[in-house]
Amino acid sequence: MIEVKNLVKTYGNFKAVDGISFTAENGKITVLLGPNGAGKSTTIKSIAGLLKFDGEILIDGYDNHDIEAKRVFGYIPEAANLYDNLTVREHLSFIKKAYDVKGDGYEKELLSLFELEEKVDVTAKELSKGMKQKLSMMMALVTRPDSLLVDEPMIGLDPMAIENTLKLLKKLKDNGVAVLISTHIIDIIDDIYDEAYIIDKGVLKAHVSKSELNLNSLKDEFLRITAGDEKHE
Amino acid sequence: MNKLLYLYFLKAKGFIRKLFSRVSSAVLTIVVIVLILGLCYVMSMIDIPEAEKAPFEILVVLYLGFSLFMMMTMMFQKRTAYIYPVDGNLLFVGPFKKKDVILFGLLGSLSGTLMFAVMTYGYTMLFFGQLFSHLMIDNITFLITGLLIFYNVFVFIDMLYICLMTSKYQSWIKRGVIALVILVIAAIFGYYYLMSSTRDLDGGFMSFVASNVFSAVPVIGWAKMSLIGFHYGDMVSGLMGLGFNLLLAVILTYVTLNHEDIDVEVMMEDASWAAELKTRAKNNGSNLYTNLKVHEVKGFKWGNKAKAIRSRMLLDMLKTRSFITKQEIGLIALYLVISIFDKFDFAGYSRYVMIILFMITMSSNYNDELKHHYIYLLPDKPIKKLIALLEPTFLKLMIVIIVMLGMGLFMNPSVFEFVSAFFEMTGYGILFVSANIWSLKMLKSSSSQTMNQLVKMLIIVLAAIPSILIGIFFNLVTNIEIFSFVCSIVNIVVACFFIYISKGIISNDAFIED
Repeated sequence: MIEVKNLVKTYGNFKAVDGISFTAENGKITVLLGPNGAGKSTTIKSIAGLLKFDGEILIDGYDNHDIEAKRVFGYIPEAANLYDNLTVREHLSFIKKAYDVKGDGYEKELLSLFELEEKVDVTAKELSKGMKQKLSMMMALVTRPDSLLVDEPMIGLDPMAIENTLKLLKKLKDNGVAVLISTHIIDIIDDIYDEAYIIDKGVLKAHVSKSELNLNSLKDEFLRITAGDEKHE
Repeated sequence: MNKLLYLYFLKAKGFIRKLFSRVSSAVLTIVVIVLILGLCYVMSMIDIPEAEKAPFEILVVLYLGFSLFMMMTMMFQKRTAYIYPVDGNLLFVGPFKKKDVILFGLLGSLSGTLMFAVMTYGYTMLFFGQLFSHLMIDNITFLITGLLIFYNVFVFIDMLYICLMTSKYQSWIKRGVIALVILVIAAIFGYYYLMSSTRDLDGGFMSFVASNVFSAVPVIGWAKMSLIGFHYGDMVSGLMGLGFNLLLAVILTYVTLNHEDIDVEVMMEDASWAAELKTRAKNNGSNLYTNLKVHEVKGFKWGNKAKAIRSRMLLDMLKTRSFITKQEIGLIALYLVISIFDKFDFAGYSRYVMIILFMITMSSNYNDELKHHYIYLLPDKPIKKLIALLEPTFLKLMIVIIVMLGMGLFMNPSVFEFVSAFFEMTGYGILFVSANIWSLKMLKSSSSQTMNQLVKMLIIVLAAIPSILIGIFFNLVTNIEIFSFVCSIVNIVVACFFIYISKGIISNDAFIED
């Protein structure tokens, strides 16, 4: 479970995130929704421990900077973060060693799911953009994390890979993983989300729970909230 | 930590695999290794009579001078980075302690240490043509001393970075320390020069090297103590010199490793900056330490049509203040010092520093400009566009040549020597640029960067042959004094020819995307 309490992130005088609080529970897909520059990626990066911030972030009850917290979450960044000269297999080998992952079963399952079995000995430099993104996802998933942070997950993926990823995220949720996704593409996650937090200009505007949302789709709700802002302005 | 060692091992394996991934790259790697080993073997076979060997003290000072220059280029950098973004993203997100990340960064410094130590040693020895001609203990001491010198510099920079990450004084401390070391050495040398009976450079220089005061200067002085000590069988001095540097290395490593309070965000920002710098260097082959700071330029006037290309490049040079960089001035100063030590005359110096013109040509910004599609689409004649593309580099070369000649005034050249050198350098500068652009046209669709660089160098060197042959001919049949002018004219004619046959390089249909 990921708990964000009163998160504030400033760059000089600019407040990128202003006192956001929310929870991503195990067995649920939680979405951070917002337009470009709303503070979604900043929030995800703060949770991943890559940014300094004020407030408190707990992962499975541990402070997000603790090594115990780092052992239980996976992070899929917006742009694949890979070593040009290492092969697919070597990337996964390092992650497995770093997180003390035993056995090859799950690795093979993921390679099959992302259709990278024939690319295991290909270096990252030679992979297409979509394949790089798939490898980046596999690196986060091969550790079987309790919580998963996903920053704009579908960018660069082909339709089949998007479909597979959505299925996988649902499967992870069914297995009790807390999935936190940051995105501005509502259509893709409309079918799979459980909780959505709409943020704009660094401020939490609304919390939408799928179980409580009767008539409107998430997209309508999002447009209603952000359009309301524009009218107000 | 073994997990990070595993990553280090994987990265090294990946790098070696990359070198041998293509036949051309593998052949090139093997050829370079064989050439270096062959050169070492041939040089070790040359038996230089004792009387003709440069004094050991000269070798030591040249070695330390070159080390000091390398230290300066490292420590005068305003900004630095500890890790690359890929490492940072994995290590800071993954289950690692901050100490592990610091140690991983220090491991990265080891490869830099090894490279700098071997390079400094090789450069010094090859320059004097005396590789292995001294005792084996001297060669071993040179290598060990070099490793300690550069390890200390790398770790000192790392320590300042880790301990003063968010302090604006970090770069000032670095610069202050290196400036202090240089000032102290200069003051000691100045003292011994003034105290020498004949006030000659050689006498003052020998007293300076032998002085105990110099031995007290941290790192460089200690290195001198160990080199001179072991050479003359004074094991106590030799061991003391090594011991001081080793002790400093241990202290710096300990302080760096035990500083727990690091700012991940600053490290990641610096890592992104370093990655951007590396990408830029890779794209246009320019120096890794290219200044990225952008200054404001007011009242800039743009040229029309093809001249807009020239304007854009000039604006870029104005904004980054890169008409001549500090590194280029430092390099010219180093070549001047070496010329003085090697007793070159002004003509010799002016030919020696042409290596710098060659290097500038290889890394000039038009290499990068050719990667932008707009210059191909611009509606003007290809030859006009090409000339506009090359003009900023010609301007930069003229500025560098003037600075080179200006610094060379220290050697008291006659007016004729000065003017001759100016013409000779200008001719070769223009030739280097034009031959380079033709080689770029020829190699445009090739994807092997290393092979491209080598072929470019070969073409540029071959392009200089006509002027050298005609110059020799004129030298034999007529007055030697017009040699430089004849070379210049021939080089300019050849350069015009290269530019003319390269005019298609930026025609509308010539764009090739990477």
